[in-house]
Amino acid sequence: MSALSVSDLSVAYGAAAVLHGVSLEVRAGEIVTVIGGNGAGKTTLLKTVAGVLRPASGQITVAGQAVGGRPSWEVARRGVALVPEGRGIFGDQTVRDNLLLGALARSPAHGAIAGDLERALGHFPALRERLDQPAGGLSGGQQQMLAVARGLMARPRFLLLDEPSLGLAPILVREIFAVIARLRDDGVTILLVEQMAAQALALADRAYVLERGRVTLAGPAAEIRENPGVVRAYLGSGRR
Amino acid sequence: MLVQLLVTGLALGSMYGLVALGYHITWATSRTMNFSQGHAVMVGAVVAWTLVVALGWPLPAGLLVTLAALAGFGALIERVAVRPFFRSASPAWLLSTIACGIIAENVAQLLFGKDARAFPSSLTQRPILVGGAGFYPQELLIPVVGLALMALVQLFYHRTPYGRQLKAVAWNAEAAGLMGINVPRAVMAAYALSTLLAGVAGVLLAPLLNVAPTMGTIIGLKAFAVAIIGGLGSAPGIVLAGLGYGVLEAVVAGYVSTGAREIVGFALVIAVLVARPWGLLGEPPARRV
Amino acid sequence: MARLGWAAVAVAALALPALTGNTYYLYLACSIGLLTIVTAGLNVLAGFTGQISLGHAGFYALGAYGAALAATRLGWPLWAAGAAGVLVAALVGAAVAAAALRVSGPYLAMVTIAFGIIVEHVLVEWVSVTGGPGGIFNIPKLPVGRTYWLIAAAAALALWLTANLRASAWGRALLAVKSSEVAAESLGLSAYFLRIVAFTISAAFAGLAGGLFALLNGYISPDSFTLQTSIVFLLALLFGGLGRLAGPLAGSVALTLLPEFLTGLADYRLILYGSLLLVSIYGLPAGVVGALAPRARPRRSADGAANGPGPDAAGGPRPTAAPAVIGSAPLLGVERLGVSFGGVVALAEVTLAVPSHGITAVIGPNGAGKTTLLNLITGYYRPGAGQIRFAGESIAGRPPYAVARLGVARTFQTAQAFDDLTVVENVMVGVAGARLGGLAGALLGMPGARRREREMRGVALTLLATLGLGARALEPATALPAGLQRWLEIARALATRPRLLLLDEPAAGLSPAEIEELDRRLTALREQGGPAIVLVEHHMELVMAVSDRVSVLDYGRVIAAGSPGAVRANPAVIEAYLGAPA
Repeated sequence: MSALSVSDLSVAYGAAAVLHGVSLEVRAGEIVTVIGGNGAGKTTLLKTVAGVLRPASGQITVAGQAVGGRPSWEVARRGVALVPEGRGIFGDQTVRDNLLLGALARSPAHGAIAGDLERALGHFPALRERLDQPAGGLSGGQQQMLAVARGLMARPRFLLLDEPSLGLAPILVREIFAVIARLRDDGVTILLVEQMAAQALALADRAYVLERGRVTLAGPAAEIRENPGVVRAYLGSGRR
Repeated sequence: MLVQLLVTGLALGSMYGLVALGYHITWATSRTMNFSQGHAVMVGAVVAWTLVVALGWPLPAGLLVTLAALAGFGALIERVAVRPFFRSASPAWLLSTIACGIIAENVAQLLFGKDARAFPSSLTQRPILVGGAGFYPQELLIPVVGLALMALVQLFYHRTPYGRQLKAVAWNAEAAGLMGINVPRAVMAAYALSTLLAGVAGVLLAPLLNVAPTMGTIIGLKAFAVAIIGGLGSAPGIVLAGLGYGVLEAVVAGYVSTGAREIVGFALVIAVLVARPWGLLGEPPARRV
Repeated sequence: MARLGWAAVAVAALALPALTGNTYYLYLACSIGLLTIVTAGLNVLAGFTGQISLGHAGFYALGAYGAALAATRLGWPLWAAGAAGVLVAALVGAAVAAAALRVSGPYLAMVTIAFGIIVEHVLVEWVSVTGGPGGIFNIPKLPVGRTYWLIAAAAALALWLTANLRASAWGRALLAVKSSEVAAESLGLSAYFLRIVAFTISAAFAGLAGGLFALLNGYISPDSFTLQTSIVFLLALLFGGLGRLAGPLAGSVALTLLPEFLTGLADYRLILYGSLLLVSIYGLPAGVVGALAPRARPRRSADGAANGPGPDAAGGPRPTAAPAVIGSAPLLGVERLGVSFGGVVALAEVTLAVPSHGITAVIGPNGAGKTTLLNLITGYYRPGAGQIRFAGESIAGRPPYAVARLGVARTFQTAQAFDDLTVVENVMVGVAGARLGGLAGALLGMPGARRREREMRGVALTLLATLGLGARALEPATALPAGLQRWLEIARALATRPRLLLLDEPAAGLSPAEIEELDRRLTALREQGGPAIVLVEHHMELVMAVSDRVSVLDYGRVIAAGSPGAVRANPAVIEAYLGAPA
């Protein structure tokens, strides 16, 4: 029962529908990716799962409990941590305070926070030197690292990553994906939304391709990788 | 004479700062403010007067209940007048907080009467004379307590987990929600704190100004002037602007006239709005498209 | 229906003196008239532009004292004294607005409260001029019967002026600023300037009412001009119906008569006002008038098309924008443009040349800086480095409305229709652009202004018809579905007759059929010699189909530029979109 499942989810901004009947599932221990071009609705999907947006219709359950339409702080306390697009770093607070804020949603059963802090810093050694600096002064790449580390501090059952590669230089993109691979090896369950399809598919167990608010392809990542539909979803078919 | 004016100015100015800090706190967390912040000043004084003077409670107990009542008043305003309009772009919260304020004023009139009443205090019985200048101990107490409270608020914000949560909401409410912070409750807490600070100013000023249902309006407005001058987004700017404004006011009133006082103060606000609309220590807002 | 209502009010106003000889009733009617004048002015400010003032008792006072002093001290005739009051209020209003409106909403409200308090203080303290707390006596006074006619005429005038204003290019511009400041500025309107105009008009109305108040009473004192008075003004407007033409009248009747019926509850007056205010905000967002006559009745849209302009109207095919620039200088030249936000580089050394014809697409992954580029070109952001030249002029750092006036139009990622206007009015805002005509002509509904109005309507209807929106021209913009709102926004931008049109993700949220339609329209626009177009778009089918040139942004830099086919085959582009295989 320990799964995150979305069924027949539709979301609209005002009159404009963005998601049309999307269904997907993330099982414990898996890494699942949702790929698709700009404007496909990937971010909307994650925001709705995390409770930032309200669904127009459809179900979202976390480990069997319905969370669709619940506010984000409740969803967070049920074990869903979203690392948002744009990172959502608290720029006026130190790196340490950002990480401690990340630990708010964790259940008390997890014991001392210090151990988690150590583990997070183990994944991101660059943050250790800057623990007491304001997070707003970090570079874009470091901020992304901090956002992921902060998400881990919640000891989430499901870690949702929204385009962690966004706006990063290629070398940092490689680094981020290396970190995600390590998290997977640590047994963190991840729902990864990415535009960088090649890297995401190389990491993931399963994948969904989102096109204009609909799931158009789904299956094991290895199969999706070979599917010519992926390139078409991104760059069009080229009529001219 | 100048020493006396400085003491009076610092006393009033620290209170303006305290009330203005309340505008800053709710503005930072929710982009809304209580336009009846001045009425909160009055509520603090009226409740304290009723408990301590009229009912003869011991001072500590009276103060404690007053503080609780103020926090409750702030929470109520948030719930009734602000939260329903939190996400709407319209300034409905502006009008609804005013409505709450004038209702509070009327209730105070009915319960307390329209006339001003003295709040006797041992600190306003006999003036102390220092170098030819005379002032009440209360006038010395006020800036000390005021500055200490403002420092406490800063400590609360920067050094306690709960303060950091409020700061997180202020910086990015959506991300704060993702951390598991109950954002509406944080906004309510900000309102409670804001009202509390204003009410404390009312209690402190009561022995000097007398207590009346209309006593808060002008203080609330001057505090807003202070918030504009210092920068609505800058707590240190507000504290400094409060002290400066109080001293300027006292000096103008002392050397020119009390009528000139208000005009100079208002002119200063206009000048700041023209030259630095975001305040002396504030930062210009980024334009969002 | 509405006309019938106005006629009934007029008949009642005309008949009242004949029906009652009781001067107290006439006095009450005068009070209603005065409140109507003030709230009609406030309606221009709060209803049209959405700004709140809680200091209008101050302008009311300026009008009253200005008129009273001119009449008593200077011995001016009454009409001149009244005019002096209006003038003083308007001038001070413009000054207060110019300072307070540099920052938005809450500041203005609080500054106006402070202003009102200051005026009250000055009235009390400046004894030698104002008479202090005792006020001014012996103001020449007309018999109440004659004052009644004067006030009734002035109130009718105030309502008539606001109705004319609402129906003019100025009124639409004010409502546009209220709905979306950003979009209004993209059409050449300066929100700051327009708000000052609205504030000044409202201050002048309050001054007029104040002057009449002095003449009605023959005696004024500071007690009549408190913060509570300002709150009652605003309350009357909100209760009557914010933004509705009849709202001021309805609210004034209610707020004047209510205390008369509740004289026993004088001690509870603030509670009553506060509760009414809360009730108005919670339950009657459009006031009593709105509750009685729900808005957004679906209208028979066919009329709109049928009433379209005849062949001789100014509509017709739009002339092509500007003669083609001979030679190689591009219409828009962006050179080494850079900007950073909070230390994060959003754009670096972006260079882009847009010729005066054809469609130039700008594509790139999320976060590549495409919208930032548009915002820099149109003046919403200031560049940190580099040059932007449009038609030979450097435009970097100019405000959005100034860029728009040069002939640069744009649309937004989330369509920003002006909600308070109908579809055709939305387009008319674009047709007028910064050319609003004379304010006096608009207020008075002069023949010239009316003629221009008809012309603009004709142009707008023609444009809507060519874009397939003709049938819905008279509906409120909010009634359009999302897809059509995009069309509306494009029509509005085209209505400014731009030389350059910037489209920010026009296909977002459109259905496949609508996207094909967009494809056809864009192609047609290019072939008919329309403006040069910069297309920021994610929908690759569309981009590849309609564009003449494509530039690809990634990490804030241009990584490729060329024909659609070449760009699509470029390995760097594929990598930017799909990522490099690990």
